[in-house]
Amino acid sequence: MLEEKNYQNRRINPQTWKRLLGYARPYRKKYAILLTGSMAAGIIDLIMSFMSMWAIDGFMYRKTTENIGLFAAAAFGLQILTASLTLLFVRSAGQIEAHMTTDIRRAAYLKLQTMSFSFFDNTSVGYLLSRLTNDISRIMEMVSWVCIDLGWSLMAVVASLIAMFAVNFKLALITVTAVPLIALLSVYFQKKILKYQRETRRINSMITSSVNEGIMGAKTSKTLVREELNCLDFTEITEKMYSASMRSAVISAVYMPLASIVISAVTGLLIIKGGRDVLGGLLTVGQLNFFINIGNMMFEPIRNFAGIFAEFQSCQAAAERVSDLLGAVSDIEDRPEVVEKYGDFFNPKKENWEPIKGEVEFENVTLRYKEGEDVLKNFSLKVRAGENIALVGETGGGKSTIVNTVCRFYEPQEGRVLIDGKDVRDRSQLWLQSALGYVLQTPHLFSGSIRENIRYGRLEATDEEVVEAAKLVGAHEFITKLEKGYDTEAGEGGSNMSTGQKQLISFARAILADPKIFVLDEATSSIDTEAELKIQAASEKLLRNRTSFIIAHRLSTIRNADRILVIDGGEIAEQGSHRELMARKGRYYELYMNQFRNERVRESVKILGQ
Amino acid sequence: MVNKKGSALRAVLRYTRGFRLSIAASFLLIGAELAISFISPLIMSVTIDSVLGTKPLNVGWYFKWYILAIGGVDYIRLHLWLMAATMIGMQALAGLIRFLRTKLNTHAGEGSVRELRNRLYAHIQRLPFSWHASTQTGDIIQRATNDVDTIRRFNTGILVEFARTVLMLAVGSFIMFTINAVLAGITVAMVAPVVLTSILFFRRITRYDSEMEQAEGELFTVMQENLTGIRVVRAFGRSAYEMSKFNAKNDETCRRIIKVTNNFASLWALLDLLCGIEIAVIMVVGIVLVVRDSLTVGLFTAFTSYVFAFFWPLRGFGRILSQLGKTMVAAGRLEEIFDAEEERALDEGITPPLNGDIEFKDVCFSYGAVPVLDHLNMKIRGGATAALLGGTGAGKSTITMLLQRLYEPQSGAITVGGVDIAGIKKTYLRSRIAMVMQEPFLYSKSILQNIGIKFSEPDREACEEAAKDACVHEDIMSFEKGYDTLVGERGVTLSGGQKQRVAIARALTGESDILIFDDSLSAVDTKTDASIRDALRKRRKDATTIIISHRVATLMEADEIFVIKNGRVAEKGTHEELMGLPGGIYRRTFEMQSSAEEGGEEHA
Repeated sequence: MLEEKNYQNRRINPQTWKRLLGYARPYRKKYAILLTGSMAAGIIDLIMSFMSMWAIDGFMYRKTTENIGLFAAAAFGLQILTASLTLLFVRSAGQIEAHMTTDIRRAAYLKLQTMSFSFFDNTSVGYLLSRLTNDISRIMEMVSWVCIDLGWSLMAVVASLIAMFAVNFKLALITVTAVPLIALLSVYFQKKILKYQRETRRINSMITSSVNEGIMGAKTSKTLVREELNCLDFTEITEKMYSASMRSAVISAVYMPLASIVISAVTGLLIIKGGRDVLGGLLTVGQLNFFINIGNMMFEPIRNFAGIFAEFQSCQAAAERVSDLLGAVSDIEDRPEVVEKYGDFFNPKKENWEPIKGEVEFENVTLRYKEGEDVLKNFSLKVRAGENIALVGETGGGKSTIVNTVCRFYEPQEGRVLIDGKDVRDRSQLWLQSALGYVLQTPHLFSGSIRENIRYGRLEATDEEVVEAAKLVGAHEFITKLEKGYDTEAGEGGSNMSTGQKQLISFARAILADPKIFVLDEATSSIDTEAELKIQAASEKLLRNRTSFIIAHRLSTIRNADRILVIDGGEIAEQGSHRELMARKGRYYELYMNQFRNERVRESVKILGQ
Repeated sequence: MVNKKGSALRAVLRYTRGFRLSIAASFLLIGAELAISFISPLIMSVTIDSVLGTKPLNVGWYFKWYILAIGGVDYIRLHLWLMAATMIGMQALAGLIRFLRTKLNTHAGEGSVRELRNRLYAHIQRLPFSWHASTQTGDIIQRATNDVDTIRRFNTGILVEFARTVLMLAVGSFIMFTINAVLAGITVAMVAPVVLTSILFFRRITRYDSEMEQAEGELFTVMQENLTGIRVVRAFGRSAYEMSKFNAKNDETCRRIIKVTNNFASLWALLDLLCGIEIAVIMVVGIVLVVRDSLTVGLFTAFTSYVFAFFWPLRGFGRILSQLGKTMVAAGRLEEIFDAEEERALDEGITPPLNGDIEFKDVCFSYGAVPVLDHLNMKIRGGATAALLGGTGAGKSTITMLLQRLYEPQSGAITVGGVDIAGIKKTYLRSRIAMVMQEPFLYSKSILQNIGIKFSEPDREACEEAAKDACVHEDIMSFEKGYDTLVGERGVTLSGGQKQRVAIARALTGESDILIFDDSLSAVDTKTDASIRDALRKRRKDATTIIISHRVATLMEADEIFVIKNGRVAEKGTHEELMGLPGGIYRRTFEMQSSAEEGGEEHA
């Protein structure tokens, strides 16, 4: 089973972040604006505290409204400035977030387009998708918005400290004592809070899969009379969720009050010391009020710092996953001089491509997916251009590996694969892969119309050519019977096409590509007998002048192959034409007869229905 | 529509049943918390005006009595620590209340959601077989997860925020008006514009938000299709094309996200502006009032802190309302599930022995308008092995389902040992009938737990024994963790044949009177099929066995074979008897299938 690499790291690793932050470069200016804007906002908040002081000491105690116009102008001006800054930095943070997410996702996706098949064999699509979506969003959200918090908090703390010490040294000292206390509290609790939040998220996903199972398996549960037992199992999980949420809530319900109490203690000290000073005429009421305001204001930035730290830590795992993806190296890569001459996946230099004839040769090929488990061992095979080869044998014998190696989706550890007498590694991957027609057992169609799906084989094909291809494989008939014909939605949820029909479409798609090398990997397994006969009839035409490799589950479909290879344990156990192999009464004969029996069972079902 | 909304609202209320006292108590505590938060600025106010200044006590009764109780302003002036202690004490009290309130809220919110989840899950489990057969599982799963999450967000957060905002308006206005009517008037006047702005913007944001979600969904589809079909992409050399397809969606999503955040930017900026103007006005008017002696400095400082406390929660009012809307929709969708009727009288009825003859008497059954069984008459001897042969849709599976009372026949009767099963307790009947379906469902538990699913503590030996009989023991032992291997998402993926055999092992554990194999050997090869049947014969003791299959070889050894066609028994008898019917369905099927033995030659 494929196990995802375990990302349990909770240590912040600068290397990881360095790669990700490289994507911030194009947005340096925006970041600068963001930082300046949020710092300015921090300063304005401080100025507002000075404004209060001015209001109290400058107007109220002096019993004058002289200069109130100036005061009003300043107050309104500052508020308008604050609002504009909010507009500015929320917009820039949003843009940074959106653009960086887009950029990193594009880079990761681009990387995935060039990774070899062995990478996909070992990584589930679900994990990849969650990296491309959740992980990236999570990191980018933090990386962009954190700047606002950081800029504002930094300024709020630094400016407040300077201002406090400028106004009154002793009171400033009292206020500052709270800083380390609140910082400690915050770091401790923020970590805990995040930990509990993770826990609840984990249990929540357990609930989701449990609900899933409860509904998917409901019918079976009924026959097993397991309904009430299922309910008991489920209650256990929901109970866990309840306790985890309670723990999580209680921990934050302790943190905030504790922090408030620390702050009120500072305020209390300020009242005692400041109050005496006011009574003694050493301090104005405005100044005292200023300190009390600042004391309250200090809490938020410090909490932010702790929050940012904890966030970074909790994002570490996600960051590593994304960073690893961005840094992944495909085990099949075209050499620089090959790229130089033939181009890469995205900028092919087609003018330098030699035409493909379709001669394929395996020269002592040894291939393994895992150390010590050779799938192919010293495998040699020579296929003439235009020859039709069928591969049969047990699952896991190496049939798919052979055809995928022809396509250079895997590369052998030892030996060479030659196309037209040239090592495939001396050509670009796209050169070979552009000449392939490839039809898989589970037909994969994209969302979009049937027409678009067939055209995937050759993007510049005309509508007529698309129809022509469909006719060739015998798909035209059923397509025209569909309500929307060729415009029928082919993707998931689009239509009620059977697997067999989808296979026909993917067949037509491959035909349209006019490939030199044709690979059919159990391509006709879900097609009903009638359609299969059609394809068989057409395939003689289809496969003429093309080298083809057919893996067939139903042996009746490959009787006309030029050569049938019985593959077992990565080796050719038998080879020859159908007639030759049947006469030999060996492995092929046994396989064939066994299948024939099953075929008859299937056919006989039809009688029963008549 | 109105009616629907009303019932959705009632449903949302119903989901809080059992926790209403906690909710009410938490609302009281929220009120207390708010009162403290509005009174604590008065400590500073009194200190400035009357302790440090010479103004007479100018606060409302709710604080005045306290100042007098601790000795009055003159005493406090000499003992300033009293004010400090008051400050700390008040915060400690607020902290305590807040702590209790959070506990109560979380208890009520999470507790009610736990109940809702349990209730919904149990309800779904208890819905009849027919309901499950006719609903789209994807849709139900969506509702049971996403919609419940929406309710959860409401019960654990939005409800409290809503109550808090409303209470804050009441408590805040009350205290502000007792201090200074002019400033209070100015403050309250700004409530409407702030709330309106918030609501209007959230309408827009909700719309853009769903556009964004749609774009994200499309992007997700593109990525998913590409990654699952990466082999196709590469085989056609379409990387560049795929990249441009992706870029279009990726950039579209980017634009949508920016649109949403830009709207948020405007909303927050506008709210900042409104609140900012408010603060500036309060300051300027405050100065004028103090200078004219209609307000004191202390009360002025109190007011400035009120304004912020007052407007902060109001900013989110639009979000609260939009969430409320979503909650109603979610509740409506959940109610549709709750409205479906549970299977009745599961535990009522008699529990007679079930090893007697099984008899279908004149049974008719149809799914909706589609007739399936048409006056079916059939008798299976107790302890015998009966085989059913028939085409797709002939009604074979329906027969087994009726026998388990997963469906009830429209007319006719089914008896076991002469007792009409309509009077037999459903749970008893089903637990004594072991059934294996063609596409069996395995639970995401260990293989051992799956085989011994009928027991809370499965007996390892018995399970292994059953697995051996079902010819799956060796497969299981080939897994690293053997019988403790997890099945499904977090464990191994079993092949179709392995699943079928595990399900057979599951059916073989524990005692049962009737064994049903509904085409459950279709994915195993002929040899394994034979050895499983062999083991079955040895172990089933006197259980009545019903085997459904298309493979004649699987059926031919049965004591009696029934050929089902168009919902009736077309032919019945032993293999020999049926072979004696020239032109019979059974015989033709047999001939066709066995002709394969010699027919291979002609293919050479």
